[in-house]
Amino acid sequence: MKLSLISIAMLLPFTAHAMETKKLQPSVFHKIKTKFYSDDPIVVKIKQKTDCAVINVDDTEILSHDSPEITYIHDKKYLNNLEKHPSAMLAAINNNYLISLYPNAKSRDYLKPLLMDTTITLAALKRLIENKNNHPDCKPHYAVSLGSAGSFASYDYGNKGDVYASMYIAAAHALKSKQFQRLLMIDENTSLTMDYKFFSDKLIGTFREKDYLKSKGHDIVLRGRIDLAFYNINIDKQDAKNERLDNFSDLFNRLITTLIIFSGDKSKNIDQICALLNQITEIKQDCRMDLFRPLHKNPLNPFSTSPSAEEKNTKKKRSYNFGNSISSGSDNDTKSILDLC
Amino acid sequence: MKYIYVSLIILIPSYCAHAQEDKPLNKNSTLFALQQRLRQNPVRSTIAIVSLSLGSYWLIDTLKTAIDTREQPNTLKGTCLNAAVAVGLISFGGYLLKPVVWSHNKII
Repeated sequence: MKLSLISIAMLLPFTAHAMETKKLQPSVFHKIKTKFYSDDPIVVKIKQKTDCAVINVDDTEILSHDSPEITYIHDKKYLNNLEKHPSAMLAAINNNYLISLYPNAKSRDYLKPLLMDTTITLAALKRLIENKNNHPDCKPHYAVSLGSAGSFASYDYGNKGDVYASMYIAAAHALKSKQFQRLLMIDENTSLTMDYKFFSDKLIGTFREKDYLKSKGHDIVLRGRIDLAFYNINIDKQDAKNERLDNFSDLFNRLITTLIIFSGDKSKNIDQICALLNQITEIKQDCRMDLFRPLHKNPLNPFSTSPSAEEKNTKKKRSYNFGNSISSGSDNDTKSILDLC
Repeated sequence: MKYIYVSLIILIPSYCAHAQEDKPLNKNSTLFALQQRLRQNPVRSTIAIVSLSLGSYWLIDTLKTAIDTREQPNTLKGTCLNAAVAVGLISFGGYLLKPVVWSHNKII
């Protein structure tokens, strides 16, 4: 029961502004009703303070070392060692040599929550893909995972406790689904200069620098079309608030499907998580408002059908923002929304 | 593997201590010396046997782990720590059992 409480994946619904979309497109993305455990403080607070639908991932859905999603990223030898010699591996991963004296049975218990975190991130991505397919008109789609990103998994000089590279496992799943080709990864924990020594050879060819854009902070340079963005937020970092909001604004203005992962100490920062979720929802609503702005008449001259100078600038900016998406020629949903505008 | 060691830890002292009178152990054997020692000082001998068995099991397990995880960085220090503990246990067991092995001729 308690283990299940760790496992929370959330999908953010379209709220008030979705009504505006309803006028344009009949199909409206709705809240997903699922059971949740009322005694979990994170779930209670998120439900109280935000409009988010909280989706629990069940213990029965937990991934194993044999799961194809995990074997696609992590080397079999690495997984076998985790299975057979968890104490020695965890000692190396945590950079704490006393752990190597622990009984293996005890160390295996430590791995279960980490696997659950990976399951949550993957479940959030699956739900994101599902909603993207079912509600293509409700762009930009995004989901939030309270699991982990596993930013440091596979680091050569110590994994800082990260055993499974959850974000990359999810990324591999996204690429395998063949719905996404170009991924953007924004990780507040690392600059993404990773050594993939323990990653399966299958993905090394895919995760080259040219295939996804490395970026950190506000200076995102979106070269080419981005299908899916992963945003790992380290909630312990208090100084990155403005950068985050700017980044989200950039992503949502470009209608990029985004998977947000909260890492760090979530139990201590519940209030910050709720505040950030509300801000993200607001940003999304603002972006959608901006998207449909040309439908409104010029307030300075209500009889004029030509856009004002301000609107022209906005439109110019917006066309720049969407330029990459349109030029790719494959994003039909974006096109249809723009046509409606 | 660990079950074999646990069995040995339990069986050897039991066998030595409860050997039948009608089937006496060979008086030249180490087991006979062990039996004598167990009867004279059961606590010390039992600790020695347990320590030796556990230490040797630990050492073998450490070696196996070291071979398996040789490509994983950062495992060397953990392996050394485990090996040190294993060697320490074996040394301790040997120290306790040394008089038994060395002096069994005298017992005879």
